[in-house]
Amino acid sequence: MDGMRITQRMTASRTLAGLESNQSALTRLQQEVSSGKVITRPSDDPAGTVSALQLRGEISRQDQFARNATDGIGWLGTLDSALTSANSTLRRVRDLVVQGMSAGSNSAQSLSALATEVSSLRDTLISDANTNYLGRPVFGGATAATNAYSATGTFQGDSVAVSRTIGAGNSVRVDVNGRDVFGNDSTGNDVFTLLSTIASNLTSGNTAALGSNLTALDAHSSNIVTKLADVGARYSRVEDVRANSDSKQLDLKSSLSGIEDVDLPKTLMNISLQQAAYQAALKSTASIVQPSLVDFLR
Amino acid sequence: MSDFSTLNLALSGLMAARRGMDVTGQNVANANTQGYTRQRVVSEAIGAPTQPAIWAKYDGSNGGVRIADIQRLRDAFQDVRSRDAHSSQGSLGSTADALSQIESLFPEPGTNGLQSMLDKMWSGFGDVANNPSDQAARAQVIAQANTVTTWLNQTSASLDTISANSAEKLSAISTQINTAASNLAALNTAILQGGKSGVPVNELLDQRDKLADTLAQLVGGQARTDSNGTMGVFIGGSAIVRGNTAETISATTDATGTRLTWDKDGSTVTGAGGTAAGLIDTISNIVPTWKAKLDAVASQLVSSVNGIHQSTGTNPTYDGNGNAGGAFFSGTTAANITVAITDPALVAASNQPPGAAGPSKDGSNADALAKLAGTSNGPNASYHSLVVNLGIATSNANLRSTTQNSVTTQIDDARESTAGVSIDEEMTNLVTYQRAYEASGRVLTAVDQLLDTLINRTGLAGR
Repeated sequence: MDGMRITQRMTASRTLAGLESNQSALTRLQQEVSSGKVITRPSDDPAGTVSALQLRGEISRQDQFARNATDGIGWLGTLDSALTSANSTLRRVRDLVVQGMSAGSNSAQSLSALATEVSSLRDTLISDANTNYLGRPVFGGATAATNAYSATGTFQGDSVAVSRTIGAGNSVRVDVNGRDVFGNDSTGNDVFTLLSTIASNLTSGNTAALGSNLTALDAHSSNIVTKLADVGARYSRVEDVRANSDSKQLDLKSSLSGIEDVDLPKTLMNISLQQAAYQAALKSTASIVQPSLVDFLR
Repeated sequence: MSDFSTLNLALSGLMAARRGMDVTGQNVANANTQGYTRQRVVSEAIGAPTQPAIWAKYDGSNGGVRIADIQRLRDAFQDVRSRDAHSSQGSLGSTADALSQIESLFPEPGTNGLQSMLDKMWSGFGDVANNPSDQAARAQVIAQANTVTTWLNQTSASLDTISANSAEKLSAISTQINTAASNLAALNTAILQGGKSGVPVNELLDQRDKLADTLAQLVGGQARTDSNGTMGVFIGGSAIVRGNTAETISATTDATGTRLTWDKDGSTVTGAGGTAAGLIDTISNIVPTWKAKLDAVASQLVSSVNGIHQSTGTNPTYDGNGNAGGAFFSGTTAANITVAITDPALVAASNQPPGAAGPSKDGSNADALAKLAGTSNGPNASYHSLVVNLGIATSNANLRSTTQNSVTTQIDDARESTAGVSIDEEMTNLVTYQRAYEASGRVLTAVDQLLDTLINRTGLAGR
């Protein structure tokens, strides 16, 4: 500028350029405030954009993990109540067997009443074993059948594990296989066969055999309790992950906000500064651009 | 020196002052004319005749003033600098324009970009995994996948449109170039003739410089003024204007690509700059680059999803009907990628063969598909790399364009500083010429009074 010849056009075009750049800075700030975002296109901040994309992807994944966990909790909760119910059914059967074993005090008639109750408890147990969650038998693996067990107590599920992915590299099995809970029916070692045997032993008054039946029953009972504990442990693991996922979501969202969202006080401050500068420029333009020597020659 | 010749001397002063005021008036009138160069009267004193002669003996007195020239105050070096700057600006500006257009096809980060579409699709697979027998979940994932493929198809088509628009613009620019070149050649002729016949050609020179500026902005090149006063314009060493002839060029697209060619022999115009160079770069380099990257995202999507969805010996998959899983996507590029299946039952969610009761309700394959969301080299990752590179390229192009813009403004300012009209200066000149006119008038009056004394008041003794 030093010693440069300045013409009116130069002053005008420089002033205009200055006003334009002021105006565009103001527009940009205004856009940030109105959209609430600092990054509106990738070129605003390429690295920030990619962080934002990664965080958005991560939030969506966490969301899905939380949904998977909720579904898993549904399965495990259903299993928990089915196993609890099965356990109390078996406890009732045990009472009846012990009652039947008290030889002498039982008439054939009362033994037959016990047998009838055991048979009906067997049906209850089968219905426990056929517990459904969203139309799928929870003890039946990935079977397409509606029930894990037929009415006669035959397993018709498969041995496929049902798992839910509740985190990156964190997959939890959310079912228990029927055969693991109620025994292998193909070898006749299942609880339903046992209950049939008990019923027939009671009917026939074969109280001597009930002793070994009781031992077998206790073994099944303790197996179910073990599975119940296992399901409980998995339930709390999934529940933990779900609870964590909420706070993780919050963390991710606040990180995303830190990258994408506008810092309102700072931006508003910048807007006022920019506005002041713009108005000052306008005012000085009004007083500088007009006069020339023409105004002073007479 | 005669008394009457002093009258002529005063007259020459009056005329010179009038001429000065004329030029000042012309300057003021064109103070805002684009490309106008301020003019200045160069006057010189009329002194002794250079050739002595017998009857024209010089008696030591002066002959007044005459206008030697009306000068255009312009610096040819500044012109060259300015044209170079405008050429770069034209090229960088159109490159930055193209990248901004491409960038606007990728509305990231946000809820309308591919990222969120992909996220929804992966989540859709997760939902299928949770409940493989739910037809709604299966239909949903197909719909999400269709959104993804439609976006890829459209974006690929939009990139083609950007390229096509640039080609159209290049063709329009080649017409502008030809018009400017032929006008410049015509002005060369007029200037040459005007110069020979002594007609002032300053305004024609201004117009010619303006055309040279236009050519520089459009196609770059160098303008050189020959010794005879005509201007030649050369692109990559070949003359587009020389003397009174102008060559024509056209935008050509063929197997070699899109470029500018000389109409005279069909050869490629090399060394072109300006807007034309930016457009050619857009068509042959920028758009293909980003299209290739988009294709890479599409093909990555096809290969990674199909790799899991399609049944293989090591990864047997089964659809909702219990049949072996087929391809989920078909196509290889962003332009032709489509979802291969429409029937929700054909989503291969299971890794288990159908059992006695029907197709397995296993969801582990859908779960594996959902896990693609987190793979470090999956479609998400290649899309991220596209977006970051596009962002960097665009912001670099914008930065270069902005920088060049301010350089150009500075150079133009320097040019304006030399050639522009300053009203203050013109007013000062006006006052100067006005006073000079008055003073010459005063000389005239004085001589008139002298003559009056001589003619009317002498030789009256005894009357």
